[in-house]
Amino acid sequence: MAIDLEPAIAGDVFPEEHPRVAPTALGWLGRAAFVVVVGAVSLYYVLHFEPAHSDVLATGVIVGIGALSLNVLVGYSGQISLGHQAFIGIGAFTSAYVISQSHQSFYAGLAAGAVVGIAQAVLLGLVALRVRGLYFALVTLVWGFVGENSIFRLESFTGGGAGQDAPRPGGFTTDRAYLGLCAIVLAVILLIDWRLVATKAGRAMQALRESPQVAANYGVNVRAYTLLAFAVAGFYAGVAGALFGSRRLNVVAEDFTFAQIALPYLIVAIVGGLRRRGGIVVFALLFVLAGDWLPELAKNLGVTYIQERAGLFIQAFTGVLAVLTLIFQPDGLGTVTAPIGRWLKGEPFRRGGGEGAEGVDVRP
Amino acid sequence: MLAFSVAQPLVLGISNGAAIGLVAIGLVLIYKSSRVFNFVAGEFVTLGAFGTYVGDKVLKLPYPLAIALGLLFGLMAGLVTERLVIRPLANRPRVTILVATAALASLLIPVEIIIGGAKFFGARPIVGGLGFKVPVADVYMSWQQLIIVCTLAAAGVGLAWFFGRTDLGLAVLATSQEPTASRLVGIRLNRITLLTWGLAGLLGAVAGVLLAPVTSQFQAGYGTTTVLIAAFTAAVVGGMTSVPGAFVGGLLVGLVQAFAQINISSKTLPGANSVATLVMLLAVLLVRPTGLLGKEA
Amino acid sequence: MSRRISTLVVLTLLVAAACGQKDGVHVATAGGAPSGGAAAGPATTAGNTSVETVPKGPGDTDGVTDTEIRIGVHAPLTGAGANAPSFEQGKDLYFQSVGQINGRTVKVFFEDDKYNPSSAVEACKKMVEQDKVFLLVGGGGADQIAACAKYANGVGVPYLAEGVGQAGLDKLRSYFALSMTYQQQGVLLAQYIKNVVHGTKVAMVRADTDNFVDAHTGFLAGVKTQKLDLVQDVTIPKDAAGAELQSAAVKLCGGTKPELVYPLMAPVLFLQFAAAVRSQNCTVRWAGVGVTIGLNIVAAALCGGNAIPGGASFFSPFTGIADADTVDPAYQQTWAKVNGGRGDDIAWGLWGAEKLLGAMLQAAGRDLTRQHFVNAVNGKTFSTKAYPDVDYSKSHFGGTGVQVLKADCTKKPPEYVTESSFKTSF
Repeated sequence: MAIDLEPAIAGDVFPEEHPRVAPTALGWLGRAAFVVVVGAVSLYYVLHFEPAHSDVLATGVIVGIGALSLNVLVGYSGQISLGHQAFIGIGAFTSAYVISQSHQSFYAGLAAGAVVGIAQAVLLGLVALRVRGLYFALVTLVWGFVGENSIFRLESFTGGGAGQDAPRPGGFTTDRAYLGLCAIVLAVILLIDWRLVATKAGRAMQALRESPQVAANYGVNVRAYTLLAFAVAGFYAGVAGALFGSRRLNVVAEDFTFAQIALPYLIVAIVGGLRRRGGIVVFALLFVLAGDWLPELAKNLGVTYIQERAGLFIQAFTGVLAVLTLIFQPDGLGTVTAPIGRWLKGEPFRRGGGEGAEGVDVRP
Repeated sequence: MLAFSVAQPLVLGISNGAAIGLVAIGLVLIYKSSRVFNFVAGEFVTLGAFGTYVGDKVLKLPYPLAIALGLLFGLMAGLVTERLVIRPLANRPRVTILVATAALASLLIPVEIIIGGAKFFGARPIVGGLGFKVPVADVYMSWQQLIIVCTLAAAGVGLAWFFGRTDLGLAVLATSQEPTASRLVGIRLNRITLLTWGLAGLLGAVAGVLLAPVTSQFQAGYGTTTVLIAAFTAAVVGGMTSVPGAFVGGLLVGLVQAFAQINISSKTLPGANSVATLVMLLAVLLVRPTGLLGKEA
Repeated sequence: MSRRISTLVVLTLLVAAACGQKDGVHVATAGGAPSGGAAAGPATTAGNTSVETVPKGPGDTDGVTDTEIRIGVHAPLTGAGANAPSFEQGKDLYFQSVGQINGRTVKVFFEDDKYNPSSAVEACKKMVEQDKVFLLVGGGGADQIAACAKYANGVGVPYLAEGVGQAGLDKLRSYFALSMTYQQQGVLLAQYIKNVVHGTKVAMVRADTDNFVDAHTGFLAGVKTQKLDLVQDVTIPKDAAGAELQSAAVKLCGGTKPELVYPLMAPVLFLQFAAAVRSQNCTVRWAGVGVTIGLNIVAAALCGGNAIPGGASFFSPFTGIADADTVDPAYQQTWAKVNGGRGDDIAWGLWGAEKLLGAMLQAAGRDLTRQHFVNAVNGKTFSTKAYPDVDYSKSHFGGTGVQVLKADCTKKPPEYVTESSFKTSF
């Protein structure tokens, strides 16, 4: 399938060279102070307020991992998934099944969720080798609905409408401790993600994103790296699903729908900024925290109409935000977080997306 | 007398397939004019049903006016989508535009709930009563189902006339085939694109107005969850650029879904219609990417 | 290099944050609350003050002070349930009418469970951890009740709800069914079909959930005993829609046509299914069990301006609203005092459940702990005259009888009227 009229990428083709200036001791001190302050505020938020806030933050971390999974496909390798409710849900149900039906530990469930997440993603990746672009997007959409309507309704696997119990592991049963567990998993995922991009695989996937044909000419193994991207995305999604399930304690099909998972997670990845893992995690947290703050805010302002419908208003607002991001701010929230990240690394504070900033255009 | 397992899917498949076909035609029109996969099409369907519900149950309008309101909702949704989302993104990669239309669906679904409430909305048929017994098949077909089939046929004839006989129709065709040349001969591309989106919104709304009463109730996101994937599959089966293809594809998908649903127990395989759709889509994409009547892949 | 440093910084931060929280947990554990366990209520007596740091296994007297008992009610306000605001309006009517129980007033918290089991667990968790309720009450919906019952048992909180399934709930120490389970009612239903309706060809259509498996078993056993003929046995997905429901309706009416159909599913799904069946010119009589499906808003939608061709009757723990005045006049009097006007059947059902709960709290005495409460209810019989008596001497599924409600489409608006009341057999 030939894609005609692909426009040139907006933005700097030859970014301006900035001289590297090592910060002074005071500069490093300032940076350290920044890290300490942000860390302290986060800890205060988690420890001082009711445990429920930890539960909300845990949701944010899980959404973050799910959105990072989409980032691997859409941001790194130029694929797409509109069926992430299947990716996440399969991880959640597999994990819950292993824990409550096979009576294994939570960690066995987590591992099983990850493995099955990888397997289903690689299957889809095999299709991606043959079907490209818009048509592949369509296949992922249908795959998501097969998950929703068929796989999640297999009573022997999911318990049907009753769902599957997904207890939390010992030592992590409280909301605060569970947030800690989710944060550790996120840290591991971020580490993997960082290594993935920094190594040969990252460059290969970038080449794939630009053009599979050209990449093949340069000796990139298109097959292997496409499947690798799907495997990694499936791994993140499976892990996110397992964490999702045990956060809710009970996994039910109603929670894994196109409107509740596939769309919002994709939007979080795009608004957070594709290829900007920091921006994605920060926006995932903001997205979820807004759901916690808005009802409180509306309650304090006496606007019960909004208080009762806060979740809906946020969902609608993120839809608007996604369209606006695609039109006006193709680098997403990454334009805000990227300069901070660079500054922390010792570079002078400069606005803009920096290297790799080429907008969220999805380019399969 | 036909066997029951054949007769019933035939009736159900043809009437549902007709509604799927209407939405699929809208997808094809948009693809021809903008080269875009329109993922908000499902919500055009919901808005058609929703507008009718608002007119009928909330504003207490006479039923024909309520239907007109539903169609207006769909038409406006099509026009606004083109103007506010598609045009600003016109030169961007196509999957970016696809994601934008999906984001728009994500905006519309909660808005429907905010306006109408998180509940099932009632939808009443144009002609009530039991319908009639289909000869030979020994199954019932409601008047509503018959109306859907007739509407698809009318839409097919109308569109054939529009593209074959009117200047405007020819301009739309020309634009989709040779955008640059069309502009040179004085066709205003923006107008044509806007028109196509409005038409697609209208067709989606027609499907929604007619289909929702068949099950008597619908809820927010109805079109996206029940019609969208079937319509896309129908469009792809038909070749993505062919209006008659979408017509045939719609009926085909409707029939395959109905056969799978009625003959495969939900105990064995729940959601057999979704699985059948996926199999059908993959078969077409892997074996004959140009579809039945399409000219390009 | 600098990139690595920054990542290390971030990682250290995250790990530090995680450890910080783990420290918090250690403090909590050291504070003396054992985590989890199937025992009904950890035996510690952590006061309200320490609850902040003891999120799991709340103290045995949580929610009880010298003057107050806090209880939590969950029911569907949104979703595929009955969607009625009077769940919340009527949430504490009974306790308002009696004033005090053993010198304590009863304060009722309410959460919408959205007709979704995992949302129900979240609602119950919130009421236990944040509102610090002493016990929980489930308002309707088998999957939600089963999910919350398991959660409540895990944290040692007493849980009371209508009888639903039995599998998975029979080992729970803290759950007590306020009415007959579906399995128990299935046996009665078969008797009812045989001896009251005089039908022979029956069908069962149930939503696909593990929680209906024993309801199915129970009905099949009844069908066998009563020598009925089960002509169709259909399951449909819990959230089936559109063509899927049509197909199920077509299947139901396709072969040997049943005279009577036992539907077991969410009210919204049932209404859509009934419409689909009617569109096939298929006249059946509906008869079944359950609470939410026997509510008047369902009757109104089911009649839809016409009569239901075959009629519809359902077992319920409470009588039709028209009989509330004779069964328990205090209900309408209290409703009029609190809300004005006349109360509906949803609040009436909740009234009956809370009356039963009131009797249990009374029996548990002034020295109220969760342990005492469970022990006080175990093995006892409670009679309130609003609900049929409950007898917990053999098991926690103590329901002994049902009321039969029949949809009357001639009323404006249509409602369920009592066909027969306090039946223990037919």
